[in-house]
Amino acid sequence: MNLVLWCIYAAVTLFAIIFSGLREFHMLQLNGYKTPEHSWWMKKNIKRYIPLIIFLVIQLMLLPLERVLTWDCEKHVLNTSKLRLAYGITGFLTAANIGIAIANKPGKKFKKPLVYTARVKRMLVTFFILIALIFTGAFVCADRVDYKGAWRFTNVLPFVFTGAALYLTPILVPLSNLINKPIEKSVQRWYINDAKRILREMPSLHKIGITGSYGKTSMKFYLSELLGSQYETLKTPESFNTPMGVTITVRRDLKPTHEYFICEMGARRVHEIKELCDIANPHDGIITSVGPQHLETFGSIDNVLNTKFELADAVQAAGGKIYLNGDNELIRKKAPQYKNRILYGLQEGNDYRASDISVSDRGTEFTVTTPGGESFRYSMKLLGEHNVQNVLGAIAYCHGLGISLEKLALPVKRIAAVPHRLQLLDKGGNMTFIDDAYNSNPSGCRAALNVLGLFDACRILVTPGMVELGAKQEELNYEFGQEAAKACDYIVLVGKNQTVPIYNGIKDAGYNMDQVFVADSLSEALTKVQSYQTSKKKIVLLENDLPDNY
Amino acid sequence: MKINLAVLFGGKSVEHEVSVISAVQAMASMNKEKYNIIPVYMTKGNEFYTGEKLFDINSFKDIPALLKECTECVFVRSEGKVQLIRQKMKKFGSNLISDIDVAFPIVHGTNVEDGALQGYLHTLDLPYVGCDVLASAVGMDKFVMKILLKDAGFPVLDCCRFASFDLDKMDDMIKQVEAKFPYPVIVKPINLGSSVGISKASDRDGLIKSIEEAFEFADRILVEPAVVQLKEINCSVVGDSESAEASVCEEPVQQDEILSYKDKYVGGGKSGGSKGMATLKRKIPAEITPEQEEFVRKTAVDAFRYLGCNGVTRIDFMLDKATDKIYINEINTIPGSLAFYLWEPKGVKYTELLERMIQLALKRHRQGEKISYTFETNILSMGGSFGAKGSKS
Repeated sequence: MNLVLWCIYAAVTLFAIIFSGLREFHMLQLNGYKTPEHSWWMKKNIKRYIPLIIFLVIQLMLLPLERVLTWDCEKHVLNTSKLRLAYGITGFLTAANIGIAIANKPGKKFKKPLVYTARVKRMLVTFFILIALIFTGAFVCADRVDYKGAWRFTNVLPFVFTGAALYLTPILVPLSNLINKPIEKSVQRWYINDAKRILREMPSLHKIGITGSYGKTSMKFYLSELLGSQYETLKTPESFNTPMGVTITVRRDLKPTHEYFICEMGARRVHEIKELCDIANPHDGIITSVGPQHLETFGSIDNVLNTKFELADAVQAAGGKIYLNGDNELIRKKAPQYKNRILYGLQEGNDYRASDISVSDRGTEFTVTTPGGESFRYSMKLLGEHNVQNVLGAIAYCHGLGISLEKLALPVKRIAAVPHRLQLLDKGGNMTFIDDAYNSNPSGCRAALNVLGLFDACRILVTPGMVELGAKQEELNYEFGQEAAKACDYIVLVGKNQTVPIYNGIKDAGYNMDQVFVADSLSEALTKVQSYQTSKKKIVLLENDLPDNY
Repeated sequence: MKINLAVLFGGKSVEHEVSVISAVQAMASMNKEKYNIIPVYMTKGNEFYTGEKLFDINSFKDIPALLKECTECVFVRSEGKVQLIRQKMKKFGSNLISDIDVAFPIVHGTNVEDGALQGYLHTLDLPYVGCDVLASAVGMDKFVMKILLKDAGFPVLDCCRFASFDLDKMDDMIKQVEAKFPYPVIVKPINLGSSVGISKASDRDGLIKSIEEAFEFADRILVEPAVVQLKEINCSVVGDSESAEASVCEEPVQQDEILSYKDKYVGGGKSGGSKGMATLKRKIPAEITPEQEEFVRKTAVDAFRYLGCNGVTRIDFMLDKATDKIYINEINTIPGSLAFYLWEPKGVKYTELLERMIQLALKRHRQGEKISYTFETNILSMGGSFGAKGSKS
């Protein structure tokens, strides 16, 4: 073995390291840079790594040849059979490494390709430092000088080191992520402090925090629609509700022209809302609901409640107002501790109340009464009581700022439903659809049936039932059938087998089974719906939509 | 953080210099605590320059020297915002001059005030002060404006419209005018402000001369009956289509028969003259009866809202002293000196007026955002066969 050979081997291997390293970084990125997730993913995809393990073992077979080879060379006695074996293995590994390089060569199309974020670049630096260290190791172990003082590379260790760098790449990649962790932490700190600085430089910006176990994203969306009709308003996008999400929004989207900043605040652990309040410093807050979500990380429902109310504490300290959903029992119990509270909801005793709710194929109408006794009737495209609650909260907040109830009528009317979530679809003709295809949980189904029950029309339910609910699936579907029997004039079930529990539920509720039809497909169901003869307008609830494999 | 406000002025227009005066004046009155003002000077060739020197009116005496001290620049939309960057890029270092949050065009005349610059800013999705593309275009085209206002029952003078390619049919034009109106008549280019190319004709020879002169400045002209016993009354309006408010009325003092370009901007006063509309000879308030004033102010607001104007405009009226009838003559969507001198008598400071204009710009942009123009998802990216899945729900 000599230097030239090693150089060729090292060059081939380096290419393979770069290509397979990038592929591994890509996978790490898709796994959210999370080591546990990534190692779980690696276990699941162990097939990818089997060849590497085999090559790692094969190159270990070079080690016993080490001394023989060195000794033979020094004595200028060629043990040809052993030398041939050493060359053979090295040749095989060279070919294997070329194969790895080709298999991982860039240019393959991915749905979400590797994005070279600053974080990835920092990890790449660490990764290549690790690779450089191993290559240095190869040099150090090389049988370096001969009698003329030239580099010889006559031993196998440099080859083994170089190969190991490649075969261990799937481990070196997450390792560089781990090494960089403290750096990333301080980078995040810097970004958060920078966001705080930007917010400090805009003293006239009014900040509103929104939290809650459910409904906070809807509330944020509705409030930004209403507030945005009067003021320059920025909201945290999508579900950006973590410290980094808020930081990104502030650093990327906040403009000096903005007057209001609506900040959604999510939490899975105690004190996470306080942490967000320390960044955003909200003037006012809204708590939409408190419920048993993320109980496994919170520990108890009291912890959930207290964490959500960290927003109320922060707002109270800042001298602002806290808007609370007074229909939520847990919130109502805790509310009296806060003097700056304003309650909103459908029930009696709320400061802002929505009443006289009616639905039609144009949406929902409701009357809002303010603490001062003013009232105004709104109409909106959204359906469902929870939506009335959330829109009411947004109206209450805007009214509290001094925006008149009349001015909010148009923005309320303009709020669009989220597609496939109790979305009203009037396709003209004699039929109106309520598309609730994305819903698949029992409480959502109950809410949808409640909405359907409010309509003065021929009420038709089309559903394949609920799936993936575990042990209770059958029981829950049975109950769903019983409730559907109360709310519907016609029921069309899609799919014969999995709708049996619903069918039984309907039957046991004493429903007229002539009005139930079991279809094989959604298109057959819709044809059936069309064939029903009725003098009233038809309102069709499409509840849940199953993938093709059911 | 201050709001980055780009003030655009100059441009390829006969009223280039007037615009410079209006802009420098306005920039001096803007709230520097709230705004970081970035002057953007458009040369007569529509190249954009920015620099500190542009705040000083004296720098404009030697334009080539001024431009040497300024940076040629260009607006781009990038990273979700509008940026002003160097036109001649440096190889190293940042080419960003400033982010821009709002644009304030203070330009007069064709090619800039007529919706062209507004369209450019609209395409950048940058909030901009003043009328939008349509209202600017309508305000600039005196014929279209007349048709629209007439249709809605506003008082305007009847007119004939001619195009330059019909110049060889002068006889037909004369016949048409004479059949419609008695002499004297007024001839004016359809789309120029500031009295350029406007003249009065008392007989057929005069009419031919006037038409030919007007065609030197525009491809389309209009002829309307002259009001012999004329009193001009101007009134400014601030607001948007939702709500608007009228200023006091002014009465420009006539030196020539019609207020000519020279009167308006050149022969202002003894002090060298380049102080813009603010120093023109005028009577404030106009010498009219309270009823007439009430009529002018109400009509001004109604027309402003009807045409969908925004910011500050000045609407010019003609009072026929013989009949006591009042007509709308024209709308200046970006009036000289932004008509601030009509607001000060009402107690509205120039700084406050400018602030109101900027807030109106943000409001319009905000309301535009509330209307969805794009679908959330890219329909083309969904792949598969179109139509097969298209009508599922």
